[in-house]
Amino acid sequence: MGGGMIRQRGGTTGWLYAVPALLLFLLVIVIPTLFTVTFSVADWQRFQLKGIGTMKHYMRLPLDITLGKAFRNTFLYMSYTVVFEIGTGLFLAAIAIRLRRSLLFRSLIFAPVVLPSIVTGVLWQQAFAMEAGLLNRLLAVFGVESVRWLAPPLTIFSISLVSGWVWAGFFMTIFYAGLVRIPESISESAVLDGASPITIFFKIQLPLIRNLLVLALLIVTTGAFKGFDLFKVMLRRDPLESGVVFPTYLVRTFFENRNIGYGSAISVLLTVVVLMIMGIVAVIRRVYVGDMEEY
Amino acid sequence: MWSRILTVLIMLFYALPIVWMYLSAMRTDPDFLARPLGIPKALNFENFVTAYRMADMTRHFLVSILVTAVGTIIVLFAASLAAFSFSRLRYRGRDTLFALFFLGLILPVQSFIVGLFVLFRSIGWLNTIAAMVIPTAGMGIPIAIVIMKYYFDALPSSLEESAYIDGAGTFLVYRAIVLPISTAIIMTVAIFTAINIWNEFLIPFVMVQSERIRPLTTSLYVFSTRHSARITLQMAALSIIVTPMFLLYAVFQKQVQRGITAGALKE
Amino acid sequence: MRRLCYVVAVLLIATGVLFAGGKQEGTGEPGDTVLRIASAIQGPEEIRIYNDLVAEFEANHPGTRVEWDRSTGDDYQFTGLPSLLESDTPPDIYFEWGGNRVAEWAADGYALDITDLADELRPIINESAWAGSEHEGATYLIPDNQDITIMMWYNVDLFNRYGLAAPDTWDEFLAVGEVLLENGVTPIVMGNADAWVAGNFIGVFLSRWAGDDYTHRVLSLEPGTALNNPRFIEALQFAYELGRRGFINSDVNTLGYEDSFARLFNESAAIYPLGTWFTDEVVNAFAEDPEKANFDYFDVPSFAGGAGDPDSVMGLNTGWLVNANTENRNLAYDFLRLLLSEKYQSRFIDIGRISTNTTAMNGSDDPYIRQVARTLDSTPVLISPPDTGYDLEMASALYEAIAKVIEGIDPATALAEAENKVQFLR
Repeated sequence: MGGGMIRQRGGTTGWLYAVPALLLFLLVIVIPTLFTVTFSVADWQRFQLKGIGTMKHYMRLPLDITLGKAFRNTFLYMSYTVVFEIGTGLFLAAIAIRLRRSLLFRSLIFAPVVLPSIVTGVLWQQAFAMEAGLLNRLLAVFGVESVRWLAPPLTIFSISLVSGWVWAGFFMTIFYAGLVRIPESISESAVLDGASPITIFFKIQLPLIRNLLVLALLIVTTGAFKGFDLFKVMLRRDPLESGVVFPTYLVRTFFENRNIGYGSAISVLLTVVVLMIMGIVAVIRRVYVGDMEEY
Repeated sequence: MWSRILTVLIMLFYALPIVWMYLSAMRTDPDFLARPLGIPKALNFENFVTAYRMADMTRHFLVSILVTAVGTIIVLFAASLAAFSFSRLRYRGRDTLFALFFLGLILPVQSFIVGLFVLFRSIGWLNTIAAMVIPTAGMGIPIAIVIMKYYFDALPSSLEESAYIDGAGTFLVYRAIVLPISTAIIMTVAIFTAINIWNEFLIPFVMVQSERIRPLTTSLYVFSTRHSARITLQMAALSIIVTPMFLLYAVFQKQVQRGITAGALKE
Repeated sequence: MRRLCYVVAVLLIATGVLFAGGKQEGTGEPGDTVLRIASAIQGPEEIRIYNDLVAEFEANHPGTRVEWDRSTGDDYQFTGLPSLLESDTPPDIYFEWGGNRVAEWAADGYALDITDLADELRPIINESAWAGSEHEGATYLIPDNQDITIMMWYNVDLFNRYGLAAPDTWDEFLAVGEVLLENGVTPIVMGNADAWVAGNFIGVFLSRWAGDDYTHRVLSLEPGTALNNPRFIEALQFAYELGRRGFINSDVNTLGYEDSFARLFNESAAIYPLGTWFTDEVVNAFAEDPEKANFDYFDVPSFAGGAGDPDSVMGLNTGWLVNANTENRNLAYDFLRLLLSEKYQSRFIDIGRISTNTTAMNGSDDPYIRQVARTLDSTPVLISPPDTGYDLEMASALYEAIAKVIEGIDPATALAEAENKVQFLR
């Protein structure tokens, strides 16, 4: 905490300062979430409420094969993005550390982060196109046959590639910030002891940024459940359901099929799953990160 | 030497789709379809003009600017006040309140989008500017509060101490002392929030259906589905939208980078 | 710096106020009555006619302004229209496809009972056009357009090049396809990324093979029926066959609707199963040199052994609903009267649409129009497309099954999955 005491200010009126934020928070997040929970046990017919207190939506959840596919796809997406976003981010950070002047490098790699996902989606959809797509034409230069990037079984893989292109730079920045703070002296003494750069990286530098690694893990795992824009833009209606994930299935259930009750039940399920994952990551954090030493 | 080559290769991989986008935008469809990996024969800006006009971009740019600006201002106002209170003031329920906002940080938007839609429908606020501003601002507040609170925590409180001793009220301390020395973090949060609101797709997609008040993101989606056959035209539309963002990023990249690293290290 | 921020903030807020205020009024006097109309995507030719219509209407009704909201076709059907109707500026008149959708809006209280207007217009509107515009005895939809949903459009030049004639029977059709394949042309191209193109096409087979009445009962999810019944499984074998032989473009389920026409126009594919609105696509694509557009259609080939009519046609009527809560009922009626008048309907016929206005239709001697009109009049059964004639969730599941079948999944498995999805609707 900052130097000096925090005075005993506030007392009875301090909370007033939090009111604007609180109001918005209630309006946008709390009340809608409560609504959603309520709707999940309601009987709706399109937009008309017919009754409250039915569990039929929750009973439908385990029987829904599309939901099962969404689970599988989401976990697949999660696994791929851990590699493509965190793994690549680490790799890039390691390179950036070794460059003397890395600002240009880091800025360029980070640039895709500021793009709207719709732009990335449209651009890469074109890049993945069968005939006039960037990737297939590049392959053609090397005499390799065209790949059906967005069709099963590559659907999730290809979308993860795009996610990686966008977010690796974000994680690179985070890891770089941590790595750059490690004093030279630590790695220097390791070199003197005869350690190779790779050993230094894995045995010394990585553990020193493990809090950042866990943070990255949290972001990627919870983020895998939020991925909507890329999927919607690149797959459209996705008749084969090869890329169906929670958000797209939710939007479809809620808006196209106008099944508010079931859509709400899916939302609740999604929230519970995300909270569970957070719990798991929190445990990992306690075990792996523990009390980080300052350096 | 090795790393030099590697870095160049990596930078190439990153830049390639963007370069391809700009180059293709300057070509014509038949030319492009014949050789997708080619270079334009001449600098042809026709696609840009056509795309801009067809997609009615002036309007959508303005909508996006409006929503982003108003949303960011709201977030800065509400979040700085709240963060100040969490960091500098003591009152009952302070820590619970802060924890509540922390929860809002991790809740996926899908948890409440359904309820949000129904809520706004019953108030009659669907398909309005407010339908975009309020949700995006609300979603941006938790992260802004967390970042600012940690920043405030790290500030020395000596200046405030003397101000209080001199009899200054709490709000004056907030306005005249804490805020002015926090311009860096405010800038960072502003940029961060602005980028997120500008790029938001799901909220406008769900809450707004009128062409008239569509922001850039959803209008680009409509445009690209409607004209998906005209590839070079689409590339031009993308280029138009992306260029100001890249320019702004080039100007503010240091702040952005610094903001992310600061947020990460506070973790 | 601080001062600059204040200035910028003030400017932005000012822009915002102006903009927000402006968005309600647009051009025109503040006292104007606004008639709001919403429709799906329309081509430039159409829009031109509608603009003239709006101009005449506004001239006849001083103090009235028309605001027309056009979203994309895909979003209009699912998320666009419902959201517009729920907003605080809902449309007074809105476009719809006849059938189940009309019945739902009527049942939910979003559509006005306009039986009086319908009776007024009945003399000038084709009898068959009223199918799908009623609910529980009252009329809600004023139909202005009839579509045949699936016709086998083909590139005439390509056919001529390989000495092919439009096939009549299924076997002839297969033969034509084989010749095309041999010459490196994809016989059928579809952009099925939105699921309805192939869904509609293969949907025709269902009725023809399983029987019109039977199919109607199954798709209506009547108790005792199931999507994966033996007849449906057999019907989808035809589609499976097409996929297996390589008759359909390999990226059919990831190719977007708009992208797919290029393949037909650049002659890498020969046939596109689509409806009467195909002419719009041709008109738009060949705006520069219309002579190059040489397309014709043949009906979906008939096959022997089916329980349904071998020549049945899938089609529907589209038209306009009036919002149940509209405050401008008379204005809306006047607008619809003008829209359905011979003056404007004949202009729609000129751009290739099949109007419901009988006088206008009789006044056209365009052979294509006459041919389509004849088909519509003579067909004993007009099958509804699954996604407008029936429950949307069911149609969704059915279309997914169809998409899988043309990818090579066996029909029994695909339909079993579809049945699994719709069990909750029964």
